[in-house]
Amino acid sequence: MLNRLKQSTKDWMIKKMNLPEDVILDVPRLTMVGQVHVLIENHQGILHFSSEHVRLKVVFGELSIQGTGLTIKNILPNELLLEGTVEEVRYLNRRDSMQ
Amino acid sequence: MNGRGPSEVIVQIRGEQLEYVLNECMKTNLPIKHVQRNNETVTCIIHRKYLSQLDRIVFDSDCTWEVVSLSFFEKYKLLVKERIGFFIGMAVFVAMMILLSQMIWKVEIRGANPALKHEISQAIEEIGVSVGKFSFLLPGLEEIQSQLLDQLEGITWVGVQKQGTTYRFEVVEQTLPKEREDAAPRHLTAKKTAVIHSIYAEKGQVLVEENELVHPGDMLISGFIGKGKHAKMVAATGKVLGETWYQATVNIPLKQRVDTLTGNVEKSYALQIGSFRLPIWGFSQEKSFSSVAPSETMKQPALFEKWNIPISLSIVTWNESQSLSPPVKREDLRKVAKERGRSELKKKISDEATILNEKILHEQSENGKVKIVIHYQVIEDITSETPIIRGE
Repeated sequence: MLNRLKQSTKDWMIKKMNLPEDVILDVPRLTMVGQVHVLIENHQGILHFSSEHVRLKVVFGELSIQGTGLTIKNILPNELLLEGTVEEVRYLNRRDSMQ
Repeated sequence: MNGRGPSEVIVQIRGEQLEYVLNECMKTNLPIKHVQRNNETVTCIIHRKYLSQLDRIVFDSDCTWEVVSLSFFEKYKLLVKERIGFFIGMAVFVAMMILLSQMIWKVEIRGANPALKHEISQAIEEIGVSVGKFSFLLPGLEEIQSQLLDQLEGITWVGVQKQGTTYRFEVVEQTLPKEREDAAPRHLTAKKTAVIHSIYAEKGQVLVEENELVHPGDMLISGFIGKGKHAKMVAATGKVLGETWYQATVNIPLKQRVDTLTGNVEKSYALQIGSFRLPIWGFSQEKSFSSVAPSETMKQPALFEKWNIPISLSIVTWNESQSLSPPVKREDLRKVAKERGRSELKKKISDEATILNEKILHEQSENGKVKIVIHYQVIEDITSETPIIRGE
């Protein structure tokens, strides 16, 4: 109940005050450099990790990254630098309430 | 897997819940790098000091872990352990090098006569500057300099220089003017028959003239000066040069033998151990020429310039010699005679004397010899001191 209230307050603030979403929401932020690097910030844990497929837990579901020869170059809290050949980035369990 | 720090190790984690391990690492802020998945295992790079934390995390899951590759630091440590002798040797060498470079190896004293040098070297040693001492234990150069100047007399200035392991002392001696003795009243008289060439009187009354013939004992410069009341006696000083005459008789054999070397050389080597002589090479070189002039050189190795090893190498050089008796010309004979006469004369007269003229008076050959009589005109100091006896 309280969580939902908090969320809606944040949504409202973003709309009204013209703030960028990633600052206030806990949504993941991805930075890709070609196919070579992906930097994922604001994730909430690794669900699966192999050299072809990485699944990460994010706020409203999962983030799935597919590719070949994936390695985690660096692990920092809430930050992950993936290296390899990235072929696909996909969100699973898309949240409908955001729309 | 490059870009590894010096104390980072490669770890392999094996098990089912690998994602759990990774998440835990993230939560506890454990810095792991280069995480790679191969089926059931994960390899990653981690700093050595975090291994215990990793162990705890892995222990909580059902996984196992092992170190695949040691860090460079550990590898290096192993290497050092294996070659401990070498590394100790290297360290000792470097330490010795530094230590020896701090020692004094040479003390040089320049610009002093032997007596003063000895005195200085003793004073220096008292201060502590001697071969084998550590230079950093000694007082500074300027202090040494002032101490030396205080201690020693007869030194105007001492410069102390340190060049590497050498101490250099530059000494300037004090030169005091010689004290003049007060000579007793005297006359200057002639000591040999001569014709006066020039007179230079410093004190006294000149009694002779130039071109005057004097005999031994004749008074040249008198010690009495002044007349009547003002008469007094002085030590006559001066220089009277006179022309004197010498005769030299030189005998020269008509046939002259000259020993020359032909240039043919043989060498023989021997090892001298104490008084025992062990020939090494060249046993019959002695007999290779009909007449030889041997010369021997000894080579002796020395330890630290101090101790001689009682083994030396003797090298005997056998030079072939030859006796020649070339025909002699008359003029050459005269030349030789003049030279010989001159050198004989030089022994008789003082260094200041000059030979004015030389003339061959007589030449006579008998019994294969030539007898040559040479006459010399020499200009020399002819004064001798005669004391004035008081009451005369």
